[in-house]
Amino acid sequence: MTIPNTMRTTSMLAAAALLNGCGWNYTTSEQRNLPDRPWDPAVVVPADDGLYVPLPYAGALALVRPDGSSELVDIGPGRLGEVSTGPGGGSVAALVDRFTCEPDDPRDARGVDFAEDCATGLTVTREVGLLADGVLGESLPIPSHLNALEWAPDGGAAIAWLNADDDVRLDGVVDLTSVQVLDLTQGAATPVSVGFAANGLLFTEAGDRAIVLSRSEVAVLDLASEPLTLEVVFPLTLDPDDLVDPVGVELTPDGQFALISVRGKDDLYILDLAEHSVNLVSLSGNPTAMFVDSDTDQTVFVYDNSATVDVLEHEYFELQTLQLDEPMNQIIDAGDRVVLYSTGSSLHDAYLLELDTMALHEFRLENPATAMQLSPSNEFAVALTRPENGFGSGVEGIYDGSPGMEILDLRADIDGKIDTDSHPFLLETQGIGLAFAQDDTNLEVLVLQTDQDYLYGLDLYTGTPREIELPEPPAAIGTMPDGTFYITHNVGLGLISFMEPLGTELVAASGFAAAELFTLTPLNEEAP
Amino acid sequence: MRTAIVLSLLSTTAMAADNEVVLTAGSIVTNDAGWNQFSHSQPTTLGIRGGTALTKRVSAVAEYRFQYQGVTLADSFSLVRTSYTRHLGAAGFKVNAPLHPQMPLVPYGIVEAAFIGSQMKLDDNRGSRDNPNQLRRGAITAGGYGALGIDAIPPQGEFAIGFVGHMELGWLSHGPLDMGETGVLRPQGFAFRMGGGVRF
Repeated sequence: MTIPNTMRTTSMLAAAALLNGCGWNYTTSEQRNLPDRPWDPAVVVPADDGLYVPLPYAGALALVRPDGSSELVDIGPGRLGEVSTGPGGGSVAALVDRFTCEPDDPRDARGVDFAEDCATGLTVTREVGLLADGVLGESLPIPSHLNALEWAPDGGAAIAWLNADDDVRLDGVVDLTSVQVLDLTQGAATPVSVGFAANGLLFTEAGDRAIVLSRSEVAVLDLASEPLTLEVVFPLTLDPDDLVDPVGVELTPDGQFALISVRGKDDLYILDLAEHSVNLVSLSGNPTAMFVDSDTDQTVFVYDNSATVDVLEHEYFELQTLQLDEPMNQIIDAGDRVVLYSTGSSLHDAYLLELDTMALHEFRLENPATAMQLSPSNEFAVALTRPENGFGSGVEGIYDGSPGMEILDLRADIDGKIDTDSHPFLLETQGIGLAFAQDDTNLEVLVLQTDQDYLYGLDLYTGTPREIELPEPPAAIGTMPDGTFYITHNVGLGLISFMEPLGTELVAASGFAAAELFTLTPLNEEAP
Repeated sequence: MRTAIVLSLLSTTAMAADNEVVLTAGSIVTNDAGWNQFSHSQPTTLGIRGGTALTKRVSAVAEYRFQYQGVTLADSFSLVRTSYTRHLGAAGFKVNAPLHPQMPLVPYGIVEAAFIGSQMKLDDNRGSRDNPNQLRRGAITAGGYGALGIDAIPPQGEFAIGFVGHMELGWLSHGPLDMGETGVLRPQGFAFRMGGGVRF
């Protein structure tokens, strides 16, 4: 039997079509890289209302509550820029970008409902508004390049500034010398010129002044005056060719002096905010960390490149230098004491410095630290350590090659002596987070480890361990304002576990990062 | 005059058999924003279409199309597996317009009302059965499909069953598919379909 040519052609055509369909249909290896994460387990904002979770891919914001519920916050048409929380988590503000499409030819805007569909003439405006119980309040417009907020101590005011270390959006003409002072309760925004490229901000404790660092100068804003005024500008150099880049600022406890460290120099600038004068103190090096202790009215400095610690008293600004065996780069407040440690490779020392007597206690860690935290009562310091390529044998060799946790007991015995031996523990994998829970009789440290789906708890008073099962390996741990722990997990569509301090039950909230996964950015209909 | 010609075409004897059953495959060119979360390529369906002649030129047709596509969405720290299933049922009329009685290529037009049921799944841990993030959302909607195509009909001779192949270009339009908090899908648009089957 012969098959006609036309029939043969038709059959082949149909077969090709069917095979083609099957081939397109489902390929398990097909992978698409998202330009942004649905959510970032390291970027969540605890507040009184719950945990605000930015959803970068969707440009949206979710509110996840400790009871496991979650909801999408209505931020209006636009994309979420940043979420910033004020002191104590009482005030939370959202920076939202609104888009309008205004091409030269208005016909090009017909049928364009989403920012992604606007070929030309897309303009963006940025607004900042307070969030309360998952609702975005009235918003204030700010220049779209301002991407960071620094809050006043009472949470009612903030300064919006350009933090070049974050994502920067440049749209139109940008004034790089300006910040915006926001009165979030009254709904007023005031631009203030503070100097080129502001890179650091600090409010005084009373909130009546703000200190703004910028290139080669420091501006002080008088926030109590009406209208708001620039009180004084301190030049950090008189030579325009000499660029001075201030990087750190702290205030003395009485609020009169601002201590300014600068990049690459050993000088500490002491600005007298009352007398408007500048004094210079020469430090032992370029400080990597600075801490003002209000109990003893002194400031402590440590250096990456110098095995010393400097202590500066605030009356005559005289410097006392103590020698260390290794350079330190971290300072932790421990009441009228400080703990010094280093995250540098192959450095094993940690120190307890008693600021009233200048007594220095040296601890020796088995492995280099990656992080250290103090218990709330300042009785213990717990360090997470990383493995190192040691050549030891036996137990020491095992420990050298393993990630660990080391406990430093900072309590003095009846003779006033401190046990400077560390108490090391081997961890299964690298420790990535610590948290403490305490009541009258228990003090528990909780340890997160990479790729381990349990939380290790150790009572520091009794040495009693326990394990708390997690639904997925953790990414980070933090504390809500009411003390509840939250643990984020590296899970694409969102997973956060909540646990009461010293509790055993976890409450999980999941799936919140799937919100608006298929939605484009709607244009702002209420364009100015 | 024009009406008379159309009526004449619809009633004239042609080579159409009484019934046909064809397997079809095709895809839709869509600009739906959410679709790229399910595939790099366009929505692709497999289906079966049956028709029975009402007149010499007009057939009643009904068809079912099935679609199942998915992709792995990756960011720097996690993977999310997505899948999209669409069931489309449609019924309507097909009008043949032969250019010449001896010609094996027969143009046609087809118009159908469509009923669509879709389901979307997201899963960020396919190795776990009790993963809480196995999201499943479904939606139904209605729409229409219209196309112009060409049947390739080889001579049937004295056989009771003959073959047919077809190729068509058209447009699928339907209402939005509300997938809950994830958003709204509407993967509709220009359609290209082809296939083959039997006539009897």
